[in-house]
Amino acid sequence: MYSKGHRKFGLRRRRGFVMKRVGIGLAALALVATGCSSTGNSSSPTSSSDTPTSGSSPVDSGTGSSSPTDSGSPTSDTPEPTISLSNTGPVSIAWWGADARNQAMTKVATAFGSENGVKVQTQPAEFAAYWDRLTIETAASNLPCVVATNTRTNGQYEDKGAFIPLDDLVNAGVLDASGISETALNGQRNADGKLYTIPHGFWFEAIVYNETMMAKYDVPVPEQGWTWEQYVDWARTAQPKLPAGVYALNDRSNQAVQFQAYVTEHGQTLFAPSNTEVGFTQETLANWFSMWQQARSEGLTPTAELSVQDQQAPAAAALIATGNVLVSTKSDNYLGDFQTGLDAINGGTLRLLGLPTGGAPQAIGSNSWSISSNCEDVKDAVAFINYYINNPSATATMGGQSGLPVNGSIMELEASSPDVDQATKDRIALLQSLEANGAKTDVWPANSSLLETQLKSIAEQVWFGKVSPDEAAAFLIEQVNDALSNNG
Amino acid sequence: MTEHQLPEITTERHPQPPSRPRRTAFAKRENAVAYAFLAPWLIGFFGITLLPMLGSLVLSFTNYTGSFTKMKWVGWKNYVRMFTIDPQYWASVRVTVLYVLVSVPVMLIVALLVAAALNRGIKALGIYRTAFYLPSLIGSSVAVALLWRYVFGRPGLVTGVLGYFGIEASSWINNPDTALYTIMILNVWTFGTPMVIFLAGLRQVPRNLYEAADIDGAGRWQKMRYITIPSLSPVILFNGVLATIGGFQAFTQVYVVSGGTGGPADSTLFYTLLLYQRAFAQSQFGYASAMAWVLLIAIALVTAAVFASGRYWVYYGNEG
Repeated sequence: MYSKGHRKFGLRRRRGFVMKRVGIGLAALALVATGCSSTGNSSSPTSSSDTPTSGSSPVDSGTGSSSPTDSGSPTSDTPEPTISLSNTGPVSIAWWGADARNQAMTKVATAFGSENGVKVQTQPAEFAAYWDRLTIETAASNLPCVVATNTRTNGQYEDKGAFIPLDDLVNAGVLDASGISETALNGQRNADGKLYTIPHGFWFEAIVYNETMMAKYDVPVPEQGWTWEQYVDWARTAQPKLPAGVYALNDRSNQAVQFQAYVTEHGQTLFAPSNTEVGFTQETLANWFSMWQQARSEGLTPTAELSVQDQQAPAAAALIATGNVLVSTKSDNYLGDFQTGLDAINGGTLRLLGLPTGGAPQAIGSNSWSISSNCEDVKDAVAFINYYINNPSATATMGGQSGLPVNGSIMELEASSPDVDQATKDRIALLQSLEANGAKTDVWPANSSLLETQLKSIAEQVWFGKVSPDEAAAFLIEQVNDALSNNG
Repeated sequence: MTEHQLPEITTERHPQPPSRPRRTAFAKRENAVAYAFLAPWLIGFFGITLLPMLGSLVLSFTNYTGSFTKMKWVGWKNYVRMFTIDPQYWASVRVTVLYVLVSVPVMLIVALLVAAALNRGIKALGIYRTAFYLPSLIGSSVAVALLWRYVFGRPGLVTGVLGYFGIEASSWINNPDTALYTIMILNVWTFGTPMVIFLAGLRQVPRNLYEAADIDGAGRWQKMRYITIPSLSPVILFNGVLATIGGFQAFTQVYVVSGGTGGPADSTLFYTLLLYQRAFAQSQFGYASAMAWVLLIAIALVTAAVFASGRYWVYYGNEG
């Protein structure tokens, strides 16, 4: 058929062709696999579970049945609202949290479902994975009906039109936010003046200290109103009294919310009023890194390696919860998880103080509920939010794990109830004292999530001496400003 | 062929030649059936692969952050930013290239050595083959990546064993100088797939070559160097290309081991992980799309280069 020469030529050509085809095919596969592995893994660390309730089909569960509190809610005075709400399909509810919080939240959602004959789908996830999932669901307009966010993240979803404005529902009393203070509610508003989120739990960053260990090692308790510099100086006096393996401070230099308190202390803000750039100077951030670097080199904080490990440990296994750290700074609603860890080793009792800000009012945050724009069961979504924020038994089940009660009368009730543990009462008292000092809800602008993620990453580089504090500060500000510039 | 010969041949193939229109109808019907069978693949290829790919190409020239109403055309900005401004980008390129350069050759060498060891007519070969292949099946799973944290973390298996011998070892995973190597070890451990392919290749090497070499007095190393490796070179090329592409796309293991951060201190910030963070943690879908396209082109170029280099070292037997 072919001569030898032809055959060789043919083979060469075929190999060339095959090579090209394989190349193109592999190239195509490359991108697909890149995309696939990304999305595929976003859900891997998460869990989700359906919580079918006794009601086999969704039935009406108007706000009337959602057990508002006895705080003189205006719902009864409001004429029957003319707003018509969609009401098809199960109401899906998504939030983040560790095991204990997930269990409590699932319990509340299930109770809501069975009390109102509503079919509920719960979609919990671990913190980091939760936001990855929301990002994808937002882009795909496929969000759950009721979405949990917080004041650090609301903005970016609101600005993408992911949530429906709730003003009309609140004004008509359909969504019963009457128990929430005006200040708190208005603090949630987007820059466009609309309300897309209803707070469902207040939290604040706090000094968490181990009272028992302090007494044991004869270390004085830090004072509220200190500056960060005083806080680190305190550690200098405390460290010599501590045994090996116990550190005076937890290194929290990678936490944007702690840095915010430092910025506040220095009379600056995290974001400029225009929300298009950061509101602090490079020097402030570099000083922040340097302060912690100095503390680390003096052995007042765990080593960089230990701190990395601490970042990834569940709250009940964090260094403060294993008795390896005397004082940490963390959101108050983690107190329970930390205490659980300490209780297991009989490690003492934890107490809270406001963050070091040099006396300036610190920021308060809230976790909130929103209703997604693609929700097809707004009626039950509203009913769930009403139930969650206004029903004392729901609040009791949560035990402050997703923040302190937002309904003023329920908070008062818990502050004096014999059924509520002392830790929660202390948290309420501290929140009230911070508010009395001028603390306000602080909502972060859209495109600001980079500040949190990049600060974590760059701070680790400083920990390990890969970059200097100055370089780290310049790098972070450049990155965050680039993202914030999209707000212009 | 002359014109009058053509109908003759056709007649031979089809004793009752169908008229021209009927043939077309039949061909059309045949084509339709073929397309029907191909439909799942076609829908998958165009709907799930090609269109999204082109979509991502368009997005790579925009500042898309998840909202089409706010999307703006930014030209080459994402690409320029990637190459000139974003320091994490180059950090991720360094990490990924180092990972590929180290783990791919090491994995291939380990796979080849184990395959050669198993190819000596040992008993219960099936059991050994399965045992060595098993990590390939489970190595890229989330469960094993989690396990890895406990092998190289602290407290962990490695630090525990070293501690037993009085060596104070720190956590490999939490140290930026060693974290990447733990991922490389995890990857090398999954040498089963190339090993099985090598094993099949070794079976194809003609016995008579070894017999001739024995007669010529060649030693074990000489037989390996002058017979086994040249004979296996097409298989080595194949395994090398697959492992290289896999290396550039490594994601799951490092995502789990580093807790999705690429830490500590960006020491395990693989290209795909940075892409994932930019897209799904920071909503910079446009930028991430640009990153994906650069990765695609880079992989295509590297693959082409590896194929091209084959001309100089791959031996196809019937040539030369």
